[in-house]
Amino acid sequence: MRSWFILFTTTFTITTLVLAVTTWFISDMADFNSRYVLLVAIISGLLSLFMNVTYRLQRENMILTVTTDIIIIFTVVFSAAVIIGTLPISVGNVILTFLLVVLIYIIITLIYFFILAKEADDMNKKILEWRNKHVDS
Amino acid sequence: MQWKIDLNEKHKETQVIIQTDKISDTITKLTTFIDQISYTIAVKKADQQMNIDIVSIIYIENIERMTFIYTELEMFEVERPLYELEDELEAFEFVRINKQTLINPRYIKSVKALLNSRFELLMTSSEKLIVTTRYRKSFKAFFNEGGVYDA
Repeated sequence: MRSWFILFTTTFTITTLVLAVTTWFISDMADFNSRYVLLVAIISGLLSLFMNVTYRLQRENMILTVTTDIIIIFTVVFSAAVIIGTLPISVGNVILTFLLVVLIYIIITLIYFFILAKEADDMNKKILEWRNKHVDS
Repeated sequence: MQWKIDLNEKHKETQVIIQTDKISDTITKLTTFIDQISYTIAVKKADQQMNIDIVSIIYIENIERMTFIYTELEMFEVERPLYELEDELEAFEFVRINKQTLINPRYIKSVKALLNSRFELLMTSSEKLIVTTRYRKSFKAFFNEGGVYDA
């Protein structure tokens, strides 16, 4: 429950910011209002649940992982937007939403890659310190 | 601290005698180190019983209820469950990295963080081992905390 809540708040903050910027850039979209906040809350809740479940699955196949992630995120985002009525169903909107999902997914993955590289670097330093202290003593 | 070696053919077994007025951190480190280099474990290879030094162990793996010990060049079998070895070797800073594997962290060459929240360890023997999500936290904590040598 705790990890779900952390995921939820993180996702909620990120998606709110992304949506606020998107409405600001795209003039066709309505102003950022309570409907968007509701949309973001539902999307964040569902995505956090999805992330929490998949985290426990410990998936091995990278292509399958990325494909499943994008399909599920797209389905959640698009369905929620249609149900709430912020986005009408059209080929253009499907493509636009899909591209936005892929773009945000790539950005988040790159940030995650950077964090992982930093973490591995820190671990290697700690192991080296530990080895110097323990093995050579 | 001073030390001397009494080299004589009549000494059939190596013995270390520490003369001190009190147990200090340095003494603890020294005795732990001696324990570590002199501690052996009973193993089996091709139906032959033998003892191996724990310092030579790179990792211990449990495969289908069989426990195997891997050193730089050889593989041995142990007729004991992994959890029992884990308890025994905890004092010598062996670390559990997944459900099946217990490693000697002295043989870690490098660590790579994987996308699925796991670590991939490259051992000095060029073997790659995985630290699963479940053991990731304790693995990180092990290197943060230091260990018995920091006594």
